[in-house]
Amino acid sequence: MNFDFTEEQTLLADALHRCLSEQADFATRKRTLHSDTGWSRALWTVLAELGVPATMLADTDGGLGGGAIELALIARATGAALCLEPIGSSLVANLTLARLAPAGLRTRLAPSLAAGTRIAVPTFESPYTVLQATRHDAAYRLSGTARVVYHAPCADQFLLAACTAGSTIADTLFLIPANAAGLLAVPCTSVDGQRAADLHLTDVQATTADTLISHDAAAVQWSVDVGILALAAETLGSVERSIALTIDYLKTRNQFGGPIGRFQALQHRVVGCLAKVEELHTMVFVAAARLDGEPMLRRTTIAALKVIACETAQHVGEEVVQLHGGMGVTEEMEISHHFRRLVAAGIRFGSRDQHLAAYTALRFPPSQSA
Amino acid sequence: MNIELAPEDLAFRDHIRAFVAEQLPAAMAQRLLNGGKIEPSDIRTWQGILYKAGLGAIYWPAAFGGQDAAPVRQYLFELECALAGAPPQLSFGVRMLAPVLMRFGTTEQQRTFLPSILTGETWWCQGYSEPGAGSDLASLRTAAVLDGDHYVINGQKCWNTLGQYADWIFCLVRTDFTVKAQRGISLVLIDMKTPGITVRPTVLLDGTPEVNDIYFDNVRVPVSQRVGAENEGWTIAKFLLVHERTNIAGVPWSKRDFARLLGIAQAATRDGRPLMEDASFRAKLARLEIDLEVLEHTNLRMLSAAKPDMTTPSILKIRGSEVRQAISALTMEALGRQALPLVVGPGDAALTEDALTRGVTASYLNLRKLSIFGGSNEIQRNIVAQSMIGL
Repeated sequence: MNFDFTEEQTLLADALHRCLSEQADFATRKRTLHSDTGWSRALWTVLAELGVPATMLADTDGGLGGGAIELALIARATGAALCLEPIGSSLVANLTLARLAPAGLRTRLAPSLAAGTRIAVPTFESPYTVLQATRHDAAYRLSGTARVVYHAPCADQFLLAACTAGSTIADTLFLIPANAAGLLAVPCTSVDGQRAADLHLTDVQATTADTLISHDAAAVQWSVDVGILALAAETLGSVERSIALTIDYLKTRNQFGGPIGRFQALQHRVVGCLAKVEELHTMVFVAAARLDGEPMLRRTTIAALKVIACETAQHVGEEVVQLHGGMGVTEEMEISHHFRRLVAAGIRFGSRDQHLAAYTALRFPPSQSA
Repeated sequence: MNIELAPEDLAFRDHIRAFVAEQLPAAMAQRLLNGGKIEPSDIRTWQGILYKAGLGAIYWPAAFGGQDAAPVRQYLFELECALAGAPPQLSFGVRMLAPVLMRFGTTEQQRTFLPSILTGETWWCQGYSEPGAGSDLASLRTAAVLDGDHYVINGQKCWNTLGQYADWIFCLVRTDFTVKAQRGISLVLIDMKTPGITVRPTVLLDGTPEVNDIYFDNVRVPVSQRVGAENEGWTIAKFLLVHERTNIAGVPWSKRDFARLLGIAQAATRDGRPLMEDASFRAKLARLEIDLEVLEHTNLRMLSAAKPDMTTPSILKIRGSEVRQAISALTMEALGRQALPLVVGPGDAALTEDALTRGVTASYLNLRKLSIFGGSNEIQRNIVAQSMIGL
């Protein structure tokens, strides 16, 4: 048993941290945040050259053959840097396509996905969707609305989950072009500054041969779980960075004749945050290790992970703002941007209580007592 | 990264599981799994069985009769023993004094004291805290004054666990009152039969005398029973704290307690319905199981790490105590009013007390100690803050 990373994994994480601290420092990010598009294609291109989107694709398709651990390491780094680029989303889409897309489609898409010239993003955060897929001969027609789809304005393609006739949960995955006829995108900016859109679909044509990725409810759930892992890892990066910023602040902010970090009331609150972060750290990598394992164990672990991630995001987010005092609630300070990222992370992919209920239903079903 | 146990570790675990199933006395296991009190004879008997099988202290170096077991194996060993209903090993000898003797003791001290720790023949206790030196341990004032080749010891120790059964005590004493508090402390080993020692039990809130006050009145101890150099005691005490981290989270005991909680919950009713149909109770149970799972893997992450870090053990001590206390609280809640009787009888106790309820409330009360002893959770937070913030 070991929780160590391989040399390649460590190199990947280090290279990414270096790249992001040089090219996506807080001042640069602020300019990107207030730009028209709200993300930097230039940074995306640099990350693509570093191999980030290729990481999730199979080496036989020209990718780097990475898996859940690499996904978690990349997402952790982008969370620490508060990236606005569609990194987490594209990693989830790329890994889903690498694992589930039919060979012909995969081979055709892989080069552009790996190069970063084609960006695919998922439109779903749970198997419960109001998108319907209605079969007409060799094609489906997709209708319905997907709300607040992160990074939709950056996307060239959407990875969609839909219900076929008679199914109450999504049982199909499609990859459709962002400019498909019948697809209307209404953009919005999320609480964490990331760009998103509501997608309204009206009889969007999706041919079986060109767009159907999978017809399997279990595959949809797996892809959702990949998304939860990526978000939790991003949350880990953000809370780690938040605590480092807070400790710096406590050492440099002077009141009552010295740094406020000498006060035990504040010290113990920092330690409370550190304890939560250690737990999230553990669960992110336990979940990563179980992502491709036995489905039931994967499900309970992912549900537990989101419970821990939601609690950690809320606890640490609120604490680090409090520890910054008045400065914590200003736009100027990096900490308030982490806080908003953590607020969004608590909401995305379902709340703490939703996932605790899912965990409870799997582990302690009421029939157990009968 | 591979979070699964290696095949060799699985084989080791299976070997321990089979050994425990065969060798642990069934009546003892049943009694302890059902919340019965751990008797000193349970601990002595079990240590004797372990010793005969070569498992007396598996993580000790082979030269001293151990197996050089890695921390993960030590954890697996403790987990298998705990789940099967074994009593804990007496940590004062096996886990605390022994590593100190191996590192700081003379060859003569090692030869004299280590074998009977391994066999379980000698019961050791610890003399650290004093009425004026709890969390601030370095302010201890029990005096050891040199008189020829003896120290003459005067003072009082408190919160001494299970010392009423002890043959020997290892004690921190002040050998120099003129220097900074930490620099004037030494560690001495004292035979409890030495004239001048008085042991007075302190009854705790669960009704048991688990701890004692120990009074030293002109107790003469040969200088040869000092461990390490004179005034080196604080260094030794700190070494002990760093060394004793394998079981700091207490995961094996929490897993055993959680299994009992599940058994109790599945038999319990609330408002005439099975308790396990109550959604809010099941959610509490689920949340607690997640805490336990996270704790276990955080513990394993630390134990399997190549280099130890200084803050994780403190965080594990805090979380480990909180989780185990929470399990005991939910167990008490599951029992409802049946949790109220702490003392049963006179009369036929069996009519009121059964295997399901025995010891649940007493355990909840007793486990308050977890967040207080061994460096209170607040002291642990100070340690982490000192390391991370350093102000």
